[in-house]
Amino acid sequence: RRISLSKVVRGDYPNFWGPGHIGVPRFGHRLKDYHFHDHILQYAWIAAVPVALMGLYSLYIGPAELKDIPEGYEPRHWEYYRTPVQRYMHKWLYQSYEQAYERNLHILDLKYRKAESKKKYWIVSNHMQTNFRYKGWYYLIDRRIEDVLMFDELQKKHGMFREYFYGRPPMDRSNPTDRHM
Amino acid sequence: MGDGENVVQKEFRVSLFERTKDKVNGKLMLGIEAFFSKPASYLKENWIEPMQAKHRGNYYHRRFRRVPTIDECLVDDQLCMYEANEQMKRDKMVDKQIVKHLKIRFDECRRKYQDGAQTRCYQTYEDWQNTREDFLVKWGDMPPQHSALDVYYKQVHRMIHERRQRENPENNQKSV
Repeated sequence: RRISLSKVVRGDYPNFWGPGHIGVPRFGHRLKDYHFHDHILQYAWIAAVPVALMGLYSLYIGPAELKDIPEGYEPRHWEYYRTPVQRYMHKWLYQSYEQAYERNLHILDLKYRKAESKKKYWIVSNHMQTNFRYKGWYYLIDRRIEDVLMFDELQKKHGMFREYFYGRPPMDRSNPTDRHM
Repeated sequence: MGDGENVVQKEFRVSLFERTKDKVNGKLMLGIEAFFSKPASYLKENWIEPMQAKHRGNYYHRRFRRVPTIDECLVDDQLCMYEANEQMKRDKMVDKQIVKHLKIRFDECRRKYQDGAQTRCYQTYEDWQNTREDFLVKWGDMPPQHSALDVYYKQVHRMIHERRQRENPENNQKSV
């Protein structure tokens, strides 16, 4: 192996703590260089393999052509990308734009409903606390609703429902805005 | 300067030396470019394009429907506000690209008319600057994390300011 002239003439000076002086020529260690180059190549191979594979895949399939969306056809979410690698990733690995959008809307809906319930609870609780000195009549659950629903169900099932135990006409449900109180 | 009416047309003659220099330089540069591009063009057109034509797909541009804007949303309606925000962001991106492409047109015009750009490219310059000003009027001076409400209220305040200017022209106060 040839020894580089610059190292002999210039004196590739060693580190400060080594023996000798600045004019003494020092020769590098070949094995150290080869060891370092091996490490560099191993580091590069880690990335070179997938990049080469993706490149060959792209070369074989080719980039997509831009076209107008045909009538009555809804493209899949990976068909909005040009390169085959992008299409593969968006088809198999990533989630679509519409999916993320709807997911965000769902989360906002849950938060909105919870916040609305909390608001109403706070209003009622505040009212009860401010009017704690007033007569606190209690409220009973209106059991007539269940009876009405059962009546409707049985009417559907049997036709005319023979009122053995109730003996009263059905409720007037012509005005839907009245609350069952 | 911009004086395009009274230009004196002089006859000129290029020397033989200059002409040969142009030809040689042109052919040399084109030859160097061809040395690298001809093999690639040949391979692409004769070997790679037929191979890709069998497996290649089509791609499309996304189309979005118009959803209600922020002024049509009820208060505390999170879903409507989210969709209005997304629509606002998309519209802003579109306007940004419009301004960008007008600048590209101006630069291409300057590249084409090297020394005559001052006279022949003024229209492109005007288009770009006016669109840029309108963009800043509509989308500029916003906080970094802004929503559709900020944009909407900017429009509201601007319209109120214009109305006040029209009603009381003598009371116009110029800002510092």
